[in-house]
Amino acid sequence: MVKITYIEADGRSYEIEAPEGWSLMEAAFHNGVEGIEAECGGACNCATCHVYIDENYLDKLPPIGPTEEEMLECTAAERRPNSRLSCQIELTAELDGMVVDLPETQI
Amino acid sequence: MSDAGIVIVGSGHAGLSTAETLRRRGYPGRVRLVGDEAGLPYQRPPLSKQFLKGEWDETRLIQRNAEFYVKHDIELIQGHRVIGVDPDHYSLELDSGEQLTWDKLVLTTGSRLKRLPVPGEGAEGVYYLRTLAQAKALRAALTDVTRVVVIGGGFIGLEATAAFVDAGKQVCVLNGADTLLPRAASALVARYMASLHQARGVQIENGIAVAAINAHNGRVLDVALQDGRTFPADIVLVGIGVEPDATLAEAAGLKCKDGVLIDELCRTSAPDILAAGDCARFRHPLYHRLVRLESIQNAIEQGKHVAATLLGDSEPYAAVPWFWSDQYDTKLQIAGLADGHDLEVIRGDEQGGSFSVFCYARRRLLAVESINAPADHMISRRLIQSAISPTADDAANPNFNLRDLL
Repeated sequence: MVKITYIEADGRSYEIEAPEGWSLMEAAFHNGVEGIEAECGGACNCATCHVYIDENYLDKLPPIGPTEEEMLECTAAERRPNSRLSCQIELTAELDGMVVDLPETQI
Repeated sequence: MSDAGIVIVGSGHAGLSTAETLRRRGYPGRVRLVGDEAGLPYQRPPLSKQFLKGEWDETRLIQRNAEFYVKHDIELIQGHRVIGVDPDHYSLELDSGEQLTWDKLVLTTGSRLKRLPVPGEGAEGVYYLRTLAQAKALRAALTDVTRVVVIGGGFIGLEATAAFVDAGKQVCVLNGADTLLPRAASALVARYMASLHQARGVQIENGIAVAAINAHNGRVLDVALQDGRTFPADIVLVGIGVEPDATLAEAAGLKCKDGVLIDELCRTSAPDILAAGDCARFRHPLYHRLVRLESIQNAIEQGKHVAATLLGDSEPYAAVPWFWSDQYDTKLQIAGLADGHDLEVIRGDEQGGSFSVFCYARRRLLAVESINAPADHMISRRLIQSAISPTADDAANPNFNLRDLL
């Protein structure tokens, strides 16, 4: 299991454990983290699972693919250097302990 | 108001979205979500994609975990069908005989499969795909078959075809319409999707009419067409579309017309009964006609909208419909509704497999279908929502930045 902490824009936080192989989005969605909409269920179709990644973990993530790159340009909240779409990040043991900030809005 | 609260009939995407939104927005009363399938509410889109391919197990389909419903005090009544609604007495009856009363009722009954009206349709080896149980049965059947016949050239049939091909099956698609995706896509996109499948050895027969499914010892043997041809099949998947499940609403005397009729705030013709999602038909302000949408986006957003209306804080529903389909490594995304378009303009590189088709009617942009062009799709949703139509020349010009119009 991989432990992730999600922090909503209003400061509420969730500590969640999810299996390796799930996506960062699924772990949040399954547990009812509000700041992730994930309308398309993880198919990189909606850009509503936008997150800001803890800088210390950025280099442990898979690179941004071409579809994610285009979708990140269309997020509702501002794109920052540490922006990712959480549906495109698979949970691995290396990500254990990662903290993820959620934007104010996804839509 | 009594303490009966809100009862939501249908625990698909629209029903769950309604329940969640009520709680997120602070509704203090009782919320009950009734669904006719056992188990926790799940996502349907992956059934014909990741789940069918065997990439995902069942637990990954679950929408929210069990603790979520406890934490948010959403009462799940799963595995029970509602058999009747009595609008005068604010009550409904479950198939168990139990009566529930409600202050407000939300119908999110979704859609049901159209069955193929031919002899042999019930033979062993003939599958449909809408529920988890059906997807499990189909996935299990795939292990020892070679030839699959898919009847229907819509999203479900084609997504399943892609999964079958990935699993090494020989697939033949028998499509009643003259093009693939006849209700969903432009001719250009339909042709492109056909070429994707054909390049992988899929046989596509358009404009056919199925006469019968022939069986031997009760098990499917082949599919016979009215023109006399037969197509051998180890299994058959029928994906010829769905129809709204408005049975309860009709029986209760609500106004229906190929779906439950709702107004811009998702209210039906009966007081205190609302509806949303696949089962509902409404006048779309962007298209000025009655529409009924079979889409996740609409189910989720209309569910939120119903909740807002119930909380007395709603605005007319006007969201741009959008759809997607993933087949092989190709992403098709559709923004808007293309019905009635009179012009198709290509933006991007059709040969290179990344382009969009802009569909216009009398110079007004109705819909944009994007193949591996997600930025086009996202911008198009905003253009259509704002009723901004780029000229055909600008749409076709890859150097013209569509964002400049927003």
